[in-house]
Amino acid sequence: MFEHVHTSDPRELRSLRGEIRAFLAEELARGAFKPAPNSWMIHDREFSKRCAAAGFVGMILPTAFGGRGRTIVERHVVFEELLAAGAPVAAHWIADRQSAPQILRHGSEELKQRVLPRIAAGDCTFAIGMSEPDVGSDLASVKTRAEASDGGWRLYGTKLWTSNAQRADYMVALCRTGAPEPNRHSNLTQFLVDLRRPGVSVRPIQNINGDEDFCEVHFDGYHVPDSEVLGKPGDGWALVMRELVAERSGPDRFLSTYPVLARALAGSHPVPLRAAAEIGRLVVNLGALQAMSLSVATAAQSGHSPEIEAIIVKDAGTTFEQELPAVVRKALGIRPGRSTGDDLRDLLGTALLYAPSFSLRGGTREIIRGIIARAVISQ
Amino acid sequence: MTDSIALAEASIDRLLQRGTDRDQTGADLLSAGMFDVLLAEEQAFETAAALVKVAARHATDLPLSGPMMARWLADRAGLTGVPEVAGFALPGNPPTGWLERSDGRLVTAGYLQGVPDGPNGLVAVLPLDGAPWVVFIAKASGLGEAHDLAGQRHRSIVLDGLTIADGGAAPLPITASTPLVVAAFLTAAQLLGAMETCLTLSTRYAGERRQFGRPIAQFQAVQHLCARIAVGVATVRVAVTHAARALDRGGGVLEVAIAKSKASEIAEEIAAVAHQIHGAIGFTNEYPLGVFTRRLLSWRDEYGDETFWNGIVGTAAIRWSTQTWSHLVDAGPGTDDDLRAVLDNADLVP
Ligand SMILES: Cc1cc2nc3c(=O)[nH]c(=O)nc-3n(C[C@H](O)[C@H](O)[C@H](O)COP(=O)(O)OP(=O)(O)OC[C@H]3O[C@@H](n4cnc5c(N)ncnc54)[C@H](O)[C@@H]3O)c2cc1C
Repeated sequence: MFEHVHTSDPRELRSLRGEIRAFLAEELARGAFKPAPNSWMIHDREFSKRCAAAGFVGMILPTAFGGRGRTIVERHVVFEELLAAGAPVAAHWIADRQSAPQILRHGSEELKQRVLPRIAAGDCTFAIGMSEPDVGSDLASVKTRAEASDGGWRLYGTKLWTSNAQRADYMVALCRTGAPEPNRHSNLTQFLVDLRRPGVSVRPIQNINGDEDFCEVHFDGYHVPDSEVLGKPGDGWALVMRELVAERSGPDRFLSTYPVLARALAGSHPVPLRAAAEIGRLVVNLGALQAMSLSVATAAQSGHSPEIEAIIVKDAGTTFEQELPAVVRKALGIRPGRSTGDDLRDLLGTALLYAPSFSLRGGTREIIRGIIARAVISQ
Repeated sequence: MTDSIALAEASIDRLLQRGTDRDQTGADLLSAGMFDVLLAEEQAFETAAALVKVAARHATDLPLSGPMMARWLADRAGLTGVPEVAGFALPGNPPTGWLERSDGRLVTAGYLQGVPDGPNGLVAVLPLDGAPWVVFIAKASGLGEAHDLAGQRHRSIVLDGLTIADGGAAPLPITASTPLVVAAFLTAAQLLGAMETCLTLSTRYAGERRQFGRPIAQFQAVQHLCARIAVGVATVRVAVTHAARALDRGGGVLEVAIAKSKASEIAEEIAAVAHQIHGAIGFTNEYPLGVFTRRLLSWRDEYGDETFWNGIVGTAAIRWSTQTWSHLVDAGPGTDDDLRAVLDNADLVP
């Protein structure tokens, strides 16, 4: 667990940061977006396409598939800058973060040719099909089933809490393709689902902030050709575990509410002198987490697979992004609201209402701590 | 971690494991050059952090970071007549002690508080007409004595009228706030070492202690306590390594502020959680845990506690306003200059 801390020299990343900041400043200047918390759930396909045109999507995909052939650390830095600016990146976020690498590793050649260039162009939204009505933390108990049929498979069942499914082109769905034998991780398979084809229906669900971010997705015999199966049938559990590593350690696990702090420091509500240490503590925590998360990316780039380190970043990071709005509220003595006309009060309101989800999505805090504990106790 | 640092860690580990005789171990540390590491051309800070961390893992009561600071400052300032192993002290801000000129000689005045006890005199940073000087104080009378939570003896030292020997004082050749920054950094590394031992003791105990017919490590509530310690150790480990490498690159004020703030804050959580895991046995002086938790609760207050360093960063961040993110991740020279300006004006009682 971070026995060997990998670090990147910040000086070597400055010019790339300069490029992405220049792109974001231009977008802001022409009013293309307003900085918002939780911006990796805000869908704006035109923004994603411009982001891709500027070279900031598909960065680690091979150039043969429209990618940029950049490093993991370079991509990480771009992810950081996009989220710190509160930019609306949902249209390409999931695809870029986890689905594209998954397809690159496990997809058929035909699938790679067809889908990866669209992802790299910022013109392809992906959804994650893991959870179900009766399947949350206990992911191995998935009930959505796939039955072999005419040159492929037919899917039956329901996925739930599928973020952005109503706006997505594709979903990667984890389904049961046989009995849970010899163990419960056996006979699970990941399928690519084209959400525009027949046999699948999507119902958006409103969250406590009033937004429709996630959905229920129902399969009624949706047909998957063999060329759209990921990996070997039955190997789905190993695939999904690998995918979760990518899902858990990135900047999206500590920067979700940073735009609130940025706004608080911008000066519209003066920070009382006695609150300097409270605000300073948030900045200190941000710096500590940024270092940890970048260290995981740097280790991954050097060929390691820092799984426990990634999970530790998720635990510490989501705690931070959850407490940030609460600390700002107390330190500045302001009342969060919605459509108050005061940017900071509105941002705080949104961040406070989204905060409970941070330690649920991507694995709950309890599950995450269990994994960390098993790793250190068995050492 | 490069090989040379791994080797340094292994060699101090061996010395401290073997050492039963305190004087002999001290002599071994000296002859192995452990007090000189801050003078190295390369990786000085990362090596120093590794050594004090390993020493703290062993809860040795031999002073290491103080003599390192003393050697380093005496050497940089070109002092002569300083013993190989001396103590180190800072006068706080505003300073409680200072240098004066009297009949063409330098004399000290005022007092120093909370100075760790040691036989060989003291290297201190004291102002002369407002500019910081490095001073060797060979002998001084202690006034009262106190013990910190770790059991370390501290004295207040009366400086009035002590004449400094020739070659015993020179202007500080580095930025005024650097001695505090480096001392805080070494303290964070010490805290890390003690935390690592708390993690080892806690996970081992959880695996061995049985209740209700099974190891308590099988209870989820206990597992989550272990996870909290692990996350704390990981956070401080990364922060201290970052600070070390930034210092070795010639910067590091921001990174040290982060490392010392996090180490001080997390010290409290780890001490509390480790005791919870251990039950009553951990609360006794017959079991080693208390040696480490008492050090955590004591060291976190040395060279600026978490509120001090948070205040430094917060004050700078309010000035940085919308540029805070770029100051934080680009960590350029301007960032450290701004932090030093805040540090120079911050009140600090040692
Ligand atoms: C905003 C949001 C977006 C999401 N987006 C997606 C998505 O795009 N795709 C997708 O597949 N899923 C998504 N999810 C679902 C998410 O992965 C699940 O919410 C999560 O895995 C937990 O499942 P659950 O909600 O069913 O809670 P449960 O698993 O029922 O847990 C309820 C409570 O019990 C605790 N608990 C459960 N098991 C244990 C245990 N063994 N030990 C201790 N405590 C336990 C949990 O920690 C939690 O506190 C999203 C969720 C949210 C909130």
